[in-house]
Amino acid sequence: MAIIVASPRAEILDSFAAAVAEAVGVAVLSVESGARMLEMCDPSKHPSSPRPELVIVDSMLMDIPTKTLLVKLMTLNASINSAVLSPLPEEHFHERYEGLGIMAQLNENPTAKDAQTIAEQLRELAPDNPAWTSSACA
Amino acid sequence: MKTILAIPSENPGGLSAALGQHFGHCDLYTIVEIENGEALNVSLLPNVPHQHGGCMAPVNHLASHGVQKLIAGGMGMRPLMGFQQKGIEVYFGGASALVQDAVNAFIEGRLSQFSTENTCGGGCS
Repeated sequence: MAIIVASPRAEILDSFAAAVAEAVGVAVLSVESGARMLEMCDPSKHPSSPRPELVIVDSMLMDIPTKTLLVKLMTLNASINSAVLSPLPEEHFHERYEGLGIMAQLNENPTAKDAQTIAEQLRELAPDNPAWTSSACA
Repeated sequence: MKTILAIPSENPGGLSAALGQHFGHCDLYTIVEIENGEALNVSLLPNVPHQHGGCMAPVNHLASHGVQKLIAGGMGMRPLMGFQQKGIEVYFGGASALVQDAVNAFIEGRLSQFSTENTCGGGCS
């Protein structure tokens, strides 16, 4: 079980990724392309690996539009939750992505507070997930 | 062969209840066991709380209760994909006013499979 952060701005998001790892209590993996994220979420390519619990998608990814990426993701595995880093106003974000079941919109420069929010939302969605039993999630 | 069919319903549920137009936000589900073209047993299944991004909660809920087919008027793409991945067939029943109408249409083979073209925005919000 892991969380994947997909962004071409790995250095900028390093501290956020670390904060998510600490808040949720699981490993956070960073990738620089949507294609790589999809590859990691594809159960046919990783049949023995547990599915990622969450992907955090930076709308600044260069190789694939965010909405296309999310549709491809749910086609692979609809159980994977998603959060999107986007500067769009909330109303526009909702119009663009509604129906895709996105757990959270974060601004493009998320903070440790956002990481805490992500952790809380994950625990609400899956309160019985054994991954949350670490002290980091208490 | 027996088929367990779920229909999103408005309160109080049952065959005479109105069809819930959005599966994830319906009051409850009417569960109908169908065999040889007949509705044998009718029961009710409460819905589960629906949180932002929690599209898979009702999908998992219905799957855990043995539902094999679902009739829905509205649904987002994520839960539709979720149902497909769990082997639950979804039919578009948006034209049905009552649960009974939807069940009759299903038994008579008048419902089409719910496709991505039928998905709505706001599927999970």
